[in-house]
Amino acid sequence: MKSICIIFNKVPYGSQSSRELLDIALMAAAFDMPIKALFIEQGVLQLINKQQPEVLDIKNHSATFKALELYGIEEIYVDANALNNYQLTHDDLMPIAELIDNNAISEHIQQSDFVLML
Amino acid sequence: MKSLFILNNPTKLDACLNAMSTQDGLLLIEDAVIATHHSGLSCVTYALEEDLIARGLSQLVKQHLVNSNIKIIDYTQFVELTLQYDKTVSWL
Repeated sequence: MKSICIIFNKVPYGSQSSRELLDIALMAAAFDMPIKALFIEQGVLQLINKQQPEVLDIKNHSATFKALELYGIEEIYVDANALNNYQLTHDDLMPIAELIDNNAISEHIQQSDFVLML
Repeated sequence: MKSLFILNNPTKLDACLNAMSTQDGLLLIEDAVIATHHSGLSCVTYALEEDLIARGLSQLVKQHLVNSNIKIIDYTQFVELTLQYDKTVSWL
């Protein structure tokens, strides 16, 4: 079964890209595809804990991130370097992602059969 | 696995280079063709000719390329290029 690496690199709610990537991840999981989710660059902000998009009448999709594990997606990584750039720590995030460095990011991309960004 | 990274947005060049491995290639298309002068292009790099011509940049970029490893390719070569790599990564 081909493996897929889904990369989140955008700030939440400015576009539909992360919602769509999440849907793709859940669908791929339903087909038992090996999946990795990488949060890099501005995408690390997707994992910030206290999101309240309701004030913009936007559905809060951050809850769906917690569903990733329910769907058996355990390989969830967040770019430690990017976190530092935004003065964020692991505690500011939803507790679902493992901190990784830059080399690990290119390795995960290199090992996956498909790499998808939106 | 060798990957061909395809970039169409020059502002994301550094992030893209960061994610690449040594054996990967980079293809600059659309607006990213202006990034040919970027100093960090140590990897195998290509630029799409049609996008250069469309933007009237062919002459300017050819001057940049005098002493650089960047190769200008057309659409047909673009297709052949994708066959030389195990996968493509469209950096968006």
